[in-house]
Amino acid sequence: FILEGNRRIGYIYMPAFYTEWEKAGAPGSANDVAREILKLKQERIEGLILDLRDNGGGSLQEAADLAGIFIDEGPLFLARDNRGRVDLIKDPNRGVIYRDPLLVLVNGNSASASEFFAQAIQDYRRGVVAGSATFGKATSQIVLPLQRSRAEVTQYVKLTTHMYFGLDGRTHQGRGVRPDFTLGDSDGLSEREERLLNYLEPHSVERNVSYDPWPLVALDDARNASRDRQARSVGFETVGHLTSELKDRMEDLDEVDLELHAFFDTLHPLQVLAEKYRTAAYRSQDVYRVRNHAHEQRIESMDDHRRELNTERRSVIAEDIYIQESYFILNDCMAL
Amino acid sequence: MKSIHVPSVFHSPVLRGLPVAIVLLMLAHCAGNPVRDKDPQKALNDMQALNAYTQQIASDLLAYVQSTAHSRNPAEINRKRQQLLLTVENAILNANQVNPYNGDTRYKDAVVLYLNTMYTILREDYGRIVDMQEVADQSYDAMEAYLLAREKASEKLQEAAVELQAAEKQFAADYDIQLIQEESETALKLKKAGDVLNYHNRIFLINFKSYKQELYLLDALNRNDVSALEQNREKLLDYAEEGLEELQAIAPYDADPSLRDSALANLQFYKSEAEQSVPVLTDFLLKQEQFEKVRQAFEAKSDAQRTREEVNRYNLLVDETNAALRIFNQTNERLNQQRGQLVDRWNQVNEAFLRRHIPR
Repeated sequence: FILEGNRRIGYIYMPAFYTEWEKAGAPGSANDVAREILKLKQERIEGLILDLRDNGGGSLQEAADLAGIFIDEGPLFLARDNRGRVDLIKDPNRGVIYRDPLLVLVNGNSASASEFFAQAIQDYRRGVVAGSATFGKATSQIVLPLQRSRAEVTQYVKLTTHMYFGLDGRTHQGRGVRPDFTLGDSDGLSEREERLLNYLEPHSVERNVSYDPWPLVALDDARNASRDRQARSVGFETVGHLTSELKDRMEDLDEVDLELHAFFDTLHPLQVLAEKYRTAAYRSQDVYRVRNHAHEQRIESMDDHRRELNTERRSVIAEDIYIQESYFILNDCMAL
Repeated sequence: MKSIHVPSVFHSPVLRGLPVAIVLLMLAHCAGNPVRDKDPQKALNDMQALNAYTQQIASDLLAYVQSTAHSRNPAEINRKRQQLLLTVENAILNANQVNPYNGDTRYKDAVVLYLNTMYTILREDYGRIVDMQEVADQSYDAMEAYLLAREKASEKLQEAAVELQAAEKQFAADYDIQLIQEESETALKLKKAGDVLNYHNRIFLINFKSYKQELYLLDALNRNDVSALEQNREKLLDYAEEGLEELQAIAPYDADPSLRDSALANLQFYKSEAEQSVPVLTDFLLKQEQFEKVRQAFEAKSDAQRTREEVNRYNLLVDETNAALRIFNQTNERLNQQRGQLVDRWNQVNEAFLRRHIPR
């Protein structure tokens, strides 16, 4: 999609780091994003928002491939196996597809591969990360059958085989990737940081890694501007209030009566709050309009269902307060 | 004062064309007759003993280098290489057995280090002197790793050569031995061969950087991997432009521009390919994707459900996609043909250049 205002900003939402193992060349999400970026470049976008909110991860290879679209060459992250061996995961291709300003949007449900990607972007200072602290999953697992014969397999074990670290040797396991720009949301509900930090065993690796980050840019002015906008925003204010209210109600939920009516009386107000919360995050605006790129418009003109979906998506994107704030942040960063 | 004769080839630049060419630095000592004067005789004996195999190494090395340039027989080239390895092995054994005068092992240590480094490089056993983990981190495949390891190994040899030169000077000064430079015929030929190989290697590496990058690009194209294709295209353009600038600053060798000009032609091809041809190929791949999606939507409708306008739009897209496919095929064919011609020419020019300039 294109957010067309005083700046033309591209917008891509990635729901997962999927890959198609069974197809030749294993095409996947990174290749799809690359194709979309090429189509957006034909429309001369000036910046790009890559939305990884609620993206629970998937293929690590896709995360590396995606990072490679924005990073010229070099290491991306470190992987330590259960025998202590540390390997370097590198950008699989030299060169980049996109060099202009980039904003990665994340939230507390952005996990695993989403976090590796966001961390790599931060390590290289290739773009800015906005949103709330990510989930904090920096491990990978494999599923193994417990029985030897394939015909007999009924039970499996999920084994953690690797832990991952950024280029500074630190892991985001349990902590998440911290955004450069914080956007208020329900992340405060879990009190994850306070609860977990005391129990987390510090993990780090030592490995000499050589890479070339982009120049350091001072973001303080842009951060202050974002905070001011959020403070003045009805949408973010409402989200803040609802988060507090939801948090208070959840703290009172030590015991839940399972009798039908009592259960309904306890949970229904939470549902109402959750619905208010969901709608609070959408507000109309007149700063930019949302359209599809020409490539997609052509397809849409031949596909009624696709046209309907796109119409709905455009409306949702136009009213999403997090995308709106990301648009403003990117504008501010471009002015730095 | 005692004297020992030192050929000027000792001061040649490091040669990178063949791994063995780096060895040319060693050939400092075609010792002449020492002037026997005082008791530094024992120190001089040390120097001569440690360099007992220098002349043999020099002539075996020259024979090997000449065979790579002038012989078309791989068995003969290999035989020369094995002979050289054997000579260096014997030189190491011999040097290890020398009992240093006065317990002063500085010069012996420097000679042994240099000989061992040379031997490691001749055997291409780079892992013994180079951090291969670091090489792996910086490389994208085995060929890149090999060339990077070779480059780092030659740097190690250069360091060992500098240490050797310093140790030799110090040893000579300490024991009142005069070092006299001389130019034997073998030394002169080795120096010339070294210059040729240095020049050749410099141009080869500039060319190779883009050549390898194009291989990655072609691999991505074969896999229909648009992401890798575009990334590698961008990098190929960078490398080709960088290489063209470097080549244009390199003069012909001994009035022979053939090698440089062939590399220039290659890089101009890569530049044009990256700038103009590959975008055409990528456009088709995106067009093909668009067509597939439209086709699926179109075929999901029955004839009765399709409007006249939709049919017209679909037919237009079919025509556009077919036209793009024709251009895609023509572009690919043209690139393959040009590439083939340039590669053949490059191989011929390389062989002819070495044959012409490496002394017999």
